[in-house]
Amino acid sequence: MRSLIKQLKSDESLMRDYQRGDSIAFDVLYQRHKDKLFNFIYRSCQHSESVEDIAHDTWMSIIRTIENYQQTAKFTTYLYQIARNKIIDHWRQQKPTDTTDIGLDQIPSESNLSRSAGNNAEQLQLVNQLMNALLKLPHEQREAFLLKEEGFSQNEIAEITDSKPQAVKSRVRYARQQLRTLMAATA
Amino acid sequence: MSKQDQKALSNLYRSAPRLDSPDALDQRILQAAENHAPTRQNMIRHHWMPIAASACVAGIAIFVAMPLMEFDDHSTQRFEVNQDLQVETVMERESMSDTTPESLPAAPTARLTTRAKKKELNEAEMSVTKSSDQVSADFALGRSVETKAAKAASEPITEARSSLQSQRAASTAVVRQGLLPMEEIDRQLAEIRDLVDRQMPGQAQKLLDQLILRCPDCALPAKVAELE
Repeated sequence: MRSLIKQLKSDESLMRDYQRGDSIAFDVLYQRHKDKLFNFIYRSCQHSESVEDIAHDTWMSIIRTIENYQQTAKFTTYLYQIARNKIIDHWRQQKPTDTTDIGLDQIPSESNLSRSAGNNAEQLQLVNQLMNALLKLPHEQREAFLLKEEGFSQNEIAEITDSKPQAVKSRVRYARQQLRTLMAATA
Repeated sequence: MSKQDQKALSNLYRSAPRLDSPDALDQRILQAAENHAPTRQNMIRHHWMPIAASACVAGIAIFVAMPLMEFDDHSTQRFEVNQDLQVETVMERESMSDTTPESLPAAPTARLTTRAKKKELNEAEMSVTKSSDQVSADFALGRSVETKAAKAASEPITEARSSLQSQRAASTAVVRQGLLPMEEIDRQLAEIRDLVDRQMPGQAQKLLDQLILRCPDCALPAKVAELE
């Protein structure tokens, strides 16, 4: 019952509860965001073996700094801001390597991107192309695109990435164009 | 890129298989969260310390602001006094300008406005005087009522005082009579008569004087001759 009530609470309220020593609140909060965050890190990071470490470091950072947590923004903004910093730290530690492209038989054009959604095998292939293309994007464009697709607004992305909303808007636009070009180039 | 293609790209991205966070990682993080959960002491620090701090700040602010507010009151009073003085000065100026029309010939319109102002001021003054008269009349009425009340309250006291005085006089008389009873007076008078019979008028007079001194209230003859 207590856990059920907590599931109805907002992220910020759960953080306040955890700040007061309620570990169940953190449990609920973690279950709510763990998979989305893990996928964001997985798709941002070129080294899949480091994803777990980055996710662990991110959550541990939240746990360790809970006493100093002050609600100045949405919890998700705070969480993804920490995750982004951890990803950047990881990139700085490891040299970027070339990612191997997934072999694709069919490369879609701009127009057949929407038409090919019906076929499952085709769609899987398209998804693989998209993921490969994502890894080839510049870092700023990739994170802007990923955050946009995770449901963040332009202003929230600007806050997470510490940049201006107009810059975020252009990065998302360029990312989409670049993805189309990359997917078309592999066709 | 068209909106349709953007939507298709988003759908394609969202249809990508999503990885679940590994259970081992979940357990590690949840265990760490439980171990690092803030204690009650920290809760007090986070919950009550800001409240206490803000209460202290508010208290200090009030402590600082109160004398300033008092100062403000004084300054407004001074301002009011200054305003009164200014009004008086204006009235004086007006009267001066009215009394010396030769020295300062004013335009008819200006003069009219001045007179109108003066009239207004006079009316205001009259109303103030009226109100002050009324206040003084009220004050006098109040004082008379107060005096009457004081009198009414003091009447029983004066009555009691007078009765006490009469009682004291009676008791004094009783005491005097007690000191010098009638038998003693008769005996003294008999002695004086005896002295007179023995041709000793000087001693008789001396004794009579002593008796008169001891008993001033008694109707005794002043001289031995009268006694004879």
